[in-house]
Amino acid sequence: MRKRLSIWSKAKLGLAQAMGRFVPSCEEATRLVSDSMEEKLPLRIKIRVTIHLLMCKWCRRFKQQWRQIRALIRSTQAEADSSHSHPQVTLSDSARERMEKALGSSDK
Amino acid sequence: MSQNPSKDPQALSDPSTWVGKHGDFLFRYALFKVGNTTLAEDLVQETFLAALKAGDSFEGKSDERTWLVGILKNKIVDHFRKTGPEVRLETSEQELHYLEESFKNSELGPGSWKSGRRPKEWVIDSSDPVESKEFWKFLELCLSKLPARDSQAFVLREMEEIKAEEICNKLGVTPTNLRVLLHRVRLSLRRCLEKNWLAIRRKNR
Repeated sequence: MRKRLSIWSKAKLGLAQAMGRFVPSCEEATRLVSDSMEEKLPLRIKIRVTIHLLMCKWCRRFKQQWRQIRALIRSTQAEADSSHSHPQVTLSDSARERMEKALGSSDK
Repeated sequence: MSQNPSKDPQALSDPSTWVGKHGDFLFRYALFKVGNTTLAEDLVQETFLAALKAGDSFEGKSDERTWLVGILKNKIVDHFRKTGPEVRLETSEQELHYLEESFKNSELGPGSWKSGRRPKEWVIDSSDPVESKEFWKFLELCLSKLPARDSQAFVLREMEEIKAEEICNKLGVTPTNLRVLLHRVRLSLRRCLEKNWLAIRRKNR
């Protein structure tokens, strides 16, 4: 199974190489995927990346996983940062007291 | 660097008002990341005390709350580092040059993923609170293994969503450098998560 897969991958990547300058390598494709997370890629480059991604499941995973990671970071960050999302979650009175005491009594 | 040569920077408010002003916010933030009330309270208290000591270092570049959150974040990472599982990036320091390492001398030709480096299939179930907590823990742990500037760039870009230009100014790198740097971080972090977290996760299920 593994062997067959790798031959298939080899064939695809061999094809990619045969297509030479037009289709980027994995190294370049991941770099461009990363760049695309920073800014919009020019159409010409986008097409080249897309062709590579069609042929390469590893780079596809790289892209999908980063999309997930970014989405997760953004959503949890937004939730944690938002003071309105869990207004009922507050410091206990005892903790508050303890902290105020600690802040008040410490000398500068 | 005296970008702000004029007048007094924004000053800190009286520490005795901090608990009232920021306590709940910091607590929620910490609770969210560590998932334990007592621990979250302790971290917030440590944060306030550290802030009190470091008051002089407040430069007024960010507002007071952002500054406090920054300190809290460090406390959380320290906590993970002390109590979390040992996270390994790679065996040697040299392998931090993952950018080259992932693709160098690949069996499939130049610039292809090397065997053992190829991304495996996985998804994160973001609807599962346990999973997102675990994700954060490992993300912080993995970040702490990166060179300081790399992780800083990533945090600024992905967590604080600061514009590239600003990050370049802050870190003193060119836009091209920053892109290379972020790419390197993405390669490395993805792999670190895969190797450390997802390996454990698979075993437990």
